[in-house]
This record gives sequence, structure tokens and C-alpha cells, in this order.
Amino acid sequence: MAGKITNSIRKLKASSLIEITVAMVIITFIFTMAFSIYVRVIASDLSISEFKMVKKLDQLSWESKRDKRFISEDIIENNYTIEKKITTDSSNSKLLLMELTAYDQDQKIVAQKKELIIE
Amino acid sequence: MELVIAMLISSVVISLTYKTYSIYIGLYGQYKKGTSRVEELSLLNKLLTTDIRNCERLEASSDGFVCKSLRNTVEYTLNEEYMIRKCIITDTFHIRILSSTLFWKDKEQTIPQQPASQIIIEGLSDSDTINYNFTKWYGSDILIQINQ
Repeated sequence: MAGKITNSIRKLKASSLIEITVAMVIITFIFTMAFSIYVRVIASDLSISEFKMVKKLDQLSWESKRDKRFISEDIIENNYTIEKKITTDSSNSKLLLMELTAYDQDQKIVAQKKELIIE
Repeated sequence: MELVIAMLISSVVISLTYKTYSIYIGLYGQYKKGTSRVEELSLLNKLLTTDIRNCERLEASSDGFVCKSLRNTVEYTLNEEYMIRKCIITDTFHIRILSSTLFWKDKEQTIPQQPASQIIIEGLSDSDTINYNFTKWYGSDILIQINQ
């Protein structure tokens, strides 16, 4: 009986060190990919800085209308650059299109606002 | 010898798993905190937008402003530490109010129960300054009533 048990243990198949290492490398690779996807999904959500810039563009739009400052200009706001672009309609000179775009330090668009104004 | 190597590999795997888990938990905690702040600020923005748009009259009050309409009245109380919205239910928004100004025809409106057409609220959430800027567009019938 004891001899039979010894024989069955000897015949048991096991993974070699190389197989385990290869498996670990594959698992690590998959894990790294999953992690990078997770981080990208989280980063794509609306951040507080984006929300702040959306509200900042609302404020700038109102200030421009209040002061009747309808000129194209760049405004520096902390680490962001806000580009204000005014274009006049070809058929009606009193109809203006105000485009406000906020860029971060990497020139990536953070927020955008377009508005038609009758002067 | 094989057992020692297997144990070493196991310890490396376990420590790596734990490290990754702690990184995930930390990242998720930051994400949850950030999103709950944005959610609260966005909700306030949405409520202010709809209340001001749907009301018939936007009026100044002693400690904030009121959005009056035939169906209901929404009262906003502005405080240094928070903002309270009183309607059917009461909501508290954890935003520090730095300043709030109401305007009527480009002039500052400070008299309670007098109409306003513009409101600017400067708030502070953690260390971020948020500017809320809303315009109330009145119908001509309401403007005639106000001017009478």
C-alpha cells in the first residue's frame, strides 16, 4: 500500500521554474495593460480643473458682453491660456461669433464655449 | 532548494499583489474624493441654472437670493461655510461663499425683495475658487409688471 503511494507521488507532474516565470511575466504584462486602461478611464472623467475652466469661460463671456469688449485676445489664467476669438458674420456685421477655448500647459483643450452675440 | 525558490517566488508575488492593491485603493480613494466634489459643484450648477431659468422673478434677500415663480419659491441662503437651498426639501452644499453680487440693469442690487437680472457667486471648494455666473432673462410681461 505504502509502495503504491510513493509511486503515485513520483509520477505527479509539476510546473518547472521556467514555466512559472513565463506565466508570471504574462500575468504582469496583462496586469500592466489593465492598469493603464483603468488610469485612462479615471483620467477621462470631468476633473475639478475642467469644471473651473467651464465656469471661468462663462464669466469671461459675461464680462466681454458687459464691457462690450469684442476683440480677439489671449488671456492667461493661472496655468491655463484662454483664447478669445471674435468673428463677424459676412452678411450681418452686427452678428458676432465669440469662441472661447481654454488650453492647459500642454496645449490640450480643457474647455470650450461658443456664443452668438448681437452687437 | 526548490522549496526555497518556490517560497521566494511566492513572497515576491504576494508582496507585488499587496503593493498593487494598495496603489489601487489609494487611486480609487483620490478618484472618489475628486468626483464627489465635482458632483456636488455640478449639481449646484445644474440647480442654479434651472431655478434661475424657470423662475418668474429673481429677487435679492437679506442673506442670499430667491427664485420666485407661481408654482414654488426656491430660497438660497449664502453663508461663509455653505450654501442652503430651500424648496420642498432642503439641500446643503459645502462650498465656502467668498462673495455674491446681484445686479439689476448693470447696477448692484442690494435691496431685499427687489428684482435682479444677474448673479455672480464666488465660492471656494477645498482650495479651488469657482465662479458661478448666471443671467436671468425676463419676459416682457414680467418687465412691464416690474416697471409699473
